[in-house]
Amino acid sequence: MSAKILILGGGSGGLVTANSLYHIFKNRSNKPEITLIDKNQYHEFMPSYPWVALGYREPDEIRRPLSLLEKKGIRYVNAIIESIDPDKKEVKTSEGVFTYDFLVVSLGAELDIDKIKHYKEEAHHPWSLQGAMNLRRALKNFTGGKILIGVQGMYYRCPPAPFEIAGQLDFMLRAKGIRDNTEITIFHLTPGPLSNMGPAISTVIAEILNNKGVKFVGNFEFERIEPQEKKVYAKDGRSLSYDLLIMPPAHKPNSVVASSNLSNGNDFPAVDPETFRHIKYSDVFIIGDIVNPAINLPPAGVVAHFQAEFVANQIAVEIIGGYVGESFTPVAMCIMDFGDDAVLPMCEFTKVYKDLSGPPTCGVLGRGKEIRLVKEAFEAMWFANYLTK
Amino acid sequence: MKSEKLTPRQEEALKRLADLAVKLHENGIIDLLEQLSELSPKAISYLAEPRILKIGANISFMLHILEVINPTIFSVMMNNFINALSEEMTPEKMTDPPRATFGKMLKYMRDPDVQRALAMIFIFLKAFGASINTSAEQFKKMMDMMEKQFAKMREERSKRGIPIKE
Ligand SMILES: Cc1cc2nc3c(=O)[nH]c(=O)nc-3n(C[C@H](O)[C@H](O)[C@H](O)COP(=O)(O)OP(=O)(O)OC[C@H]3O[C@@H](n4cnc5c(N)ncnc54)[C@H](O)[C@@H]3O)c2cc1C
Repeated sequence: MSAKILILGGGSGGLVTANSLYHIFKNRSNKPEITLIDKNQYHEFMPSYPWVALGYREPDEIRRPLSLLEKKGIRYVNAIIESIDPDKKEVKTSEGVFTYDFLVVSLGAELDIDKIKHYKEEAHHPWSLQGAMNLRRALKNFTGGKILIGVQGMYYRCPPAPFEIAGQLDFMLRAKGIRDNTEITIFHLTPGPLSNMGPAISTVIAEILNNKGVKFVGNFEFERIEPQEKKVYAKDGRSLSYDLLIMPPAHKPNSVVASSNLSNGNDFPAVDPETFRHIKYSDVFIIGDIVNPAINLPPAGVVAHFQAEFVANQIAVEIIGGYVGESFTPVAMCIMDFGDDAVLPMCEFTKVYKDLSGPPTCGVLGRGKEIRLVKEAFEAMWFANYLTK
Repeated sequence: MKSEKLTPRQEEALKRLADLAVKLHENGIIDLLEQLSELSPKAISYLAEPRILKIGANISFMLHILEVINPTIFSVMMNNFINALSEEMTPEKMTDPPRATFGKMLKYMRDPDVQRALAMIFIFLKAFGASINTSAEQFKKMMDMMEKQFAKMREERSKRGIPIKE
């Protein structure tokens, strides 16, 4: 009987897991039965959300139907996952109950739009496709004033994204001819721009923001939004004004996993950071934004990608026996496109995530506006490889 | 595909494409492309290997250095330096290298060419020293920040039952 592999989530982690398994098994006879479940009919390429907000991409250019996986013999089920029972090896969904021999959970973080008072009415964000389209409308009507970009905590997808958005907005507003009557300010918990990634990256980002006249306010611990005053307050009493406020919504660990036995009453599930297997249920692998903050890895697609390949290899070992393939590469990268400039920063996290023995090793891999082409090529390759038409 | 008739231009294009495909096939290029398309998801992973990334980062760093030093000045200086070296580093000197005794050093120090070269070296050392200072400060700040975070991270990991491999 063939092994049943159930993948929950068709985001970065789930999609790469499914494809890696397909490649491992496509020329073998003991093919497993692979099923992927997602409530979204499409896989969305999140790094391009800001491009959608700025009109550089249309929604259909940055998403593809998950049903394309069927061409590779992977069953795709469009359903809402309601609960996971690792003791019974069962997953309940709006389309029925599924059982498994191996479970891969990559359900991502959840956006908690209601957590911050007045957020829904006051703030915009390109952290979802809908959010990106709303921001596009707001930008179309924007004629100048104060743009304030900031974060309310450290748990949000893609730590460098707010800086990238600030740079892109500067570029766009100059093209629109309203940059002179617009102030762009970023507020963040860190003392300097991306200073948690070390001086090599921080210095370059600070220089770019400076060239673009974008102000940075550091050590700003967000407290509240005051809609009447059009101000954001920090815990220490400082305040910043806005006409247009851009903030990622509060992120929270996925509620289906948080309410299951996988999380055991905690916010995040407990995994072995070397294998991404659940501590108690060794047939359950958990990867991506749903768990990474708890093992001191950033919520980034590149990390989920490498975890997915590693997990697919481990499952294959159990089915085939023998060779594990490549080891896990704890690396994160983000192509930051600023319109007229771009940076490719990279961090390696071995010392942080395994034993908390040292800072990440970070550096700038490349700088210059041609780096944007790398982002475009990556986007094209992503779809061509993983959701082949 | 719609079953409409092809226009003569489309027909010609298709014929040329078919001829090209035969050539590519005979040269083994289609095979190669097939192999490459199998490799591409893997290629993404290999490109992100820390060692490869570090090589990339170093190349990018060197290119950046070359960019900040005015290229015209740099190439003129390098050219003249190589010319001067070829005059000074004669085969005789290379087979029997002279030794710099204290007396000779004093003599060299009075040579205006050596004085200029030394001044350049001191300019370099000054910039290098200043950068060491700034880097040390930045690094210390980062380590302080990490120390505080690590204590919190350890606590959170043990609360969640996630092991730390020592
Ligand atoms: C603006 C922006 C820019 C970014 N740029 C980069 C970048 O440059 N580099 C980088 O590495 N990362 C980047 N990221 C982050 C990256 O996209 C995420 O870290 C990555 O997608 C996480 O993958 P995941 O598989 O953990 O979760 P996700 O990709 O979020 O996938 C989770 C999936 O689970 C599904 N799901 C959730 N709950 C249920 C349920 N109950 N039932 C059914 N389905 C469910 C969702 O529909 C979703 O498809 C960016 C993100 C944003 C928002």
